[in-house]
Amino acid sequence: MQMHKVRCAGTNAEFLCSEDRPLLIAMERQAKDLIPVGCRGGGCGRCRIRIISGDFETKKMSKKFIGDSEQKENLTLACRTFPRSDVIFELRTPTQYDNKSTMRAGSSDSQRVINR
Amino acid sequence: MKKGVMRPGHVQIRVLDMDEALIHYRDRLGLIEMHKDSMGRVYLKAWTEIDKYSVVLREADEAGMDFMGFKVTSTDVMNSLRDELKEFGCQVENIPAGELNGCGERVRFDSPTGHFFEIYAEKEQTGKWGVTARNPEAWPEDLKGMKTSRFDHCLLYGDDLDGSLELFTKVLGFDLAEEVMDGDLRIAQFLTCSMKAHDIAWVRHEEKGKFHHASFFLNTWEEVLRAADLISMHDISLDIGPTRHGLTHGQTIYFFDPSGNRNEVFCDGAGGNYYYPDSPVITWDASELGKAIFYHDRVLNENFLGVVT
Repeated sequence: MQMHKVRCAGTNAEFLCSEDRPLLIAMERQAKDLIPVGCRGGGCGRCRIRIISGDFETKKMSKKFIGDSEQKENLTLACRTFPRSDVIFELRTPTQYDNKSTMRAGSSDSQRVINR
Repeated sequence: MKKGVMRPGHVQIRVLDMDEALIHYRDRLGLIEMHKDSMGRVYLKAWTEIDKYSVVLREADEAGMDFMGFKVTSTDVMNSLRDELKEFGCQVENIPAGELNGCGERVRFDSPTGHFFEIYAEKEQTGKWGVTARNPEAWPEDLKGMKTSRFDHCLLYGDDLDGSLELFTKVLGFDLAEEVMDGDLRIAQFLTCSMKAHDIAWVRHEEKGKFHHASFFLNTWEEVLRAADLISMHDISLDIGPTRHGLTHGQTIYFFDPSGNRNEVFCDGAGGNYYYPDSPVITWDASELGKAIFYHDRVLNENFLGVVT
């Protein structure tokens, strides 16, 4: 199976990925921490990235995070993306992962939880 | 005060790819495939359940939960609760009998946390799967995967926890069994309509209508560990576990279906909580949140809090 280099834009950080494995899973198996990991099933959007250069194929992803316009801009979820050449990507984490859970840090009230 | 709501009866889950989802829910969780309707929805049940199905999978463009349904004791109860739901201010919709295969009329309503629920009184009873109703053997021999024994509860994420608590306690007769308090703010609530530690639960979250997990019951810690082995054997996306919760004291493992919807399998053996109407509310302080959620690690993992569908 052909291996491709997957690199985070503007850095030297990279990992290898075969054509039959999603980018995110290959990254985790190599113990790298370049892309946030969520459900690994195309449903939660946590691992959204934009492919800046390189060829890739995808499996079905939640339209909530990858609609038609996002798809045209080469946005994709790393857990559902398979490389077909070397790839360079940038992170495009959805805004809802900016501290939404009140149990984590969503509201001023819960700052008490976090800062304790 | 009980008002005739018996149990969680079904959950309709949106999946991105039905074939992948079926392998997961049927062959890994061990649910029994019971029916496929003209819309392509697939109906499954856990083997100990007497009704025809408890999980309905619908292929869609987004993951998440369409609705959760509760079975009530009679059509009269359903009709009187319908009036009370309207009075409370819910948007109420009558779904005709047969819209879900083998299910009677359903009353669907929205909630302050943005989730859709239903009550219904009638569903075709096929009996426990694989054992006879008369002189039944202990369990069927040809179960698959984790051999989950029933659909147990859902945990949902939403903003107006106080509103949904009022709806479920005052209108539907649930009781608050356990909670997490941050000062005066309730950030998690576990409600029961039975002897179980929870039949439905919520965690406070800015976005409305989010689905955290659907949970399935196992009998022993050994079965939870066996589920963990199956998760590795089949490369299923793991969230966390096996571990124990402080809240409910259940022993648990969390993982994701192939569309990113979270599942739990758990058991309440060896110290799991149960509920009677005179049980005082069990309160965890937000300062002990890590231990409340994950009793062994005593720290929260980021994904458990943030990743929902």
